[in-house]
Amino acid sequence: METTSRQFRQLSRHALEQATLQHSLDGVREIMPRIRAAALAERGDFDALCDRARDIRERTLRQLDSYLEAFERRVQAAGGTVHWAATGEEACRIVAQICRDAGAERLIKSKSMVTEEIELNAALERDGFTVTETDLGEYIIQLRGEKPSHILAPSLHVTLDEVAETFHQHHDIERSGPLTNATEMLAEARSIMRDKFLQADVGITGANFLVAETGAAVIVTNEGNADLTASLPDTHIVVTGIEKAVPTLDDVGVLLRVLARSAIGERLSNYTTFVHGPRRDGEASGPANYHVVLVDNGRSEMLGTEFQDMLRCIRCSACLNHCPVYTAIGGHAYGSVYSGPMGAVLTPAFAGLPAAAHLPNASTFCGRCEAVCPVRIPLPSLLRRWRQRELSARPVMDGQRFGLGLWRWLNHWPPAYSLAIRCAARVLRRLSVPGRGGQRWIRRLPLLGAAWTDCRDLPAPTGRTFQDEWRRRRS
Amino acid sequence: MAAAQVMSSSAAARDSILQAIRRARAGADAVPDAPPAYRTPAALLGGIEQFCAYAGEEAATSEHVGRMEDVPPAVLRYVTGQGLAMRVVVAADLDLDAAVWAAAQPLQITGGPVKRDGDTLVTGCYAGVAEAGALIMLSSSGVPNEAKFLAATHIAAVRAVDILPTFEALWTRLRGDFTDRWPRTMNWIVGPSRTADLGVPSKLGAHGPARVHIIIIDA
Repeated sequence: METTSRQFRQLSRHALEQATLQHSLDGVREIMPRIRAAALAERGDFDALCDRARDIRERTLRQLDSYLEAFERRVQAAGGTVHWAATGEEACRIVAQICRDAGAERLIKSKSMVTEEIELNAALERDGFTVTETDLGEYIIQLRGEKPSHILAPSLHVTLDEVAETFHQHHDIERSGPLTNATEMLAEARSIMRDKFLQADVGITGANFLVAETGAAVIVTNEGNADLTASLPDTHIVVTGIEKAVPTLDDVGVLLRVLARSAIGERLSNYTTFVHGPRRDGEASGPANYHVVLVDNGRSEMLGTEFQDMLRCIRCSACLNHCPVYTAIGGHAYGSVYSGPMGAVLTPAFAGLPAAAHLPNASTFCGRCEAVCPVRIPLPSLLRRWRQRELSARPVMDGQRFGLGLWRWLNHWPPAYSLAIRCAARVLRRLSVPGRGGQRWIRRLPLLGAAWTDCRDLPAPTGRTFQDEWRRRRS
Repeated sequence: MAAAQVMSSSAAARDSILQAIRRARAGADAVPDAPPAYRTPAALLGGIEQFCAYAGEEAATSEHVGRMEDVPPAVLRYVTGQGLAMRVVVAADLDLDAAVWAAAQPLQITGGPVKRDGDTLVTGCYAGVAEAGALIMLSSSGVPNEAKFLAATHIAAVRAVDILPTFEALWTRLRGDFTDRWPRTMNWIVGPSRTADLGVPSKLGAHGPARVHIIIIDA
């Protein structure tokens, strides 16, 4: 997986200075937690559902081989073909070969993070195919040559004016005047997309779940684009990760309940589609050829390791929407198609820790991601494990490693710790000045502390340590 | 790369992936049996009222009629009220003969397919699920599946008895109706097609219908 995560610092600084991006992120921060909370409030059993969802995903991962085999048998019995790809390149080759065998030129796609991860579009275009994304957000960023900045709302960073500009640039149609509002832009995109749908030779979708019980690929959208992608062309290819298997329909029901509520604050997305195979005898329509490409690309390596819990992820994006870091810098700063807390755990696993070492460090460990995760992934713990690995790979005299070593040493010697903290509390108090709300603030710190005070004030300690206060109250 | 080569690499990948999975779980504890199906607390269980309210919150409209024969006049009323073209495509899954549709004149009735953007489609419906306000549609020999997503307006008739409280109730019914051969596709539809990619609030009619109207047949 190609990433620009090494440039995290520069990219995040740039993101903080982009006014339009900041405006979009303000929207995420203000709206998404509110609508999620409202959707949960109606379900008194949401916690029980999340426990169930976690158990379902956990049980699946522990018997993933047998669920994948059961799924494969079902698809084959229905007349479909299942392909296995150990790497992203293999998956791209398989999809290209299916398209060639179908004599295809024009391909349509619905949104899929796995295909972003394996860079399927670029591979297919290199092979001479024309690929059109049909999710409106994906379509917009495809025209602009950009990567998704949110796993669910890929064009979050693009303003309406920029969409109009992009459409003016790329759509070769006659208009009565410039596009001025969302309704006009939607109408134009709809009419252009209609032709693409009707002319396409192959439709490529992802899958949210693969049901071992029935062999269904379950695809969730709000636009209905996946349904057209899966039903109009003569060939339908599902490309998805091996971890998407679930045992039964009952399990899918539980996961769907937590997915839409966590993702968009809805009871259910507008369209949920269960695909079981190719067109049958006597059916009026539907694809004659049906393929499922199961992509590993690093997933099986995570099984049985301390990062296995991450494979429970159902890509709802609640952790992004509630993350103080993601909602400050947006997705592009992460330099990976997976952003926010889930991206900071997944990217080092897929792209290697050296390429993505900044990401697990970009967290305050505030814990909101874990609190809102519908499958209860311990995201801060997983981030900490990456940090541990990264730190132990650094040279012994590295500044951060030295500092943390010192901190550790202090923690092991209570008298030294107590003395150091008492001194620090007094010195910091001395450096502070009175400020708003009767609180004292530190405006400037020297050396390492400047990294904090250059951007914001530091609230001053009371001058007494916790241990002092504890002793005073107990006596 | 030749087709045969790609396919044999898929077989090799299959072996290596399954082996990696088995290696990872070697020595792990036995997996406990799956618990019985989830049971929604009684306080959350709803019926037709909940179904209509939840579909309504997702911008679908609904009305009740007494019998199947009342569907054509209801369609006529809706089409007239919305100012739509006086022409509808009627899917074959709706169990109504031509004579009954004559009552809906001057509405023009065709058997499809849906071609034009702007068409109105009338279908039956396998079931409804109250907890999500969802229409459950199955692919069948009579209805081209894409029609439900190409039409600009979708009118769906569902029998009141087919409105189920929960997903679990739907699974039970599906397992009873299709023991082994599942319908090729099953589409769950909650209100009109929409997109959130052009700002808040969502805009209706992204690719599929901009209007969804549900006719509930009480008898």
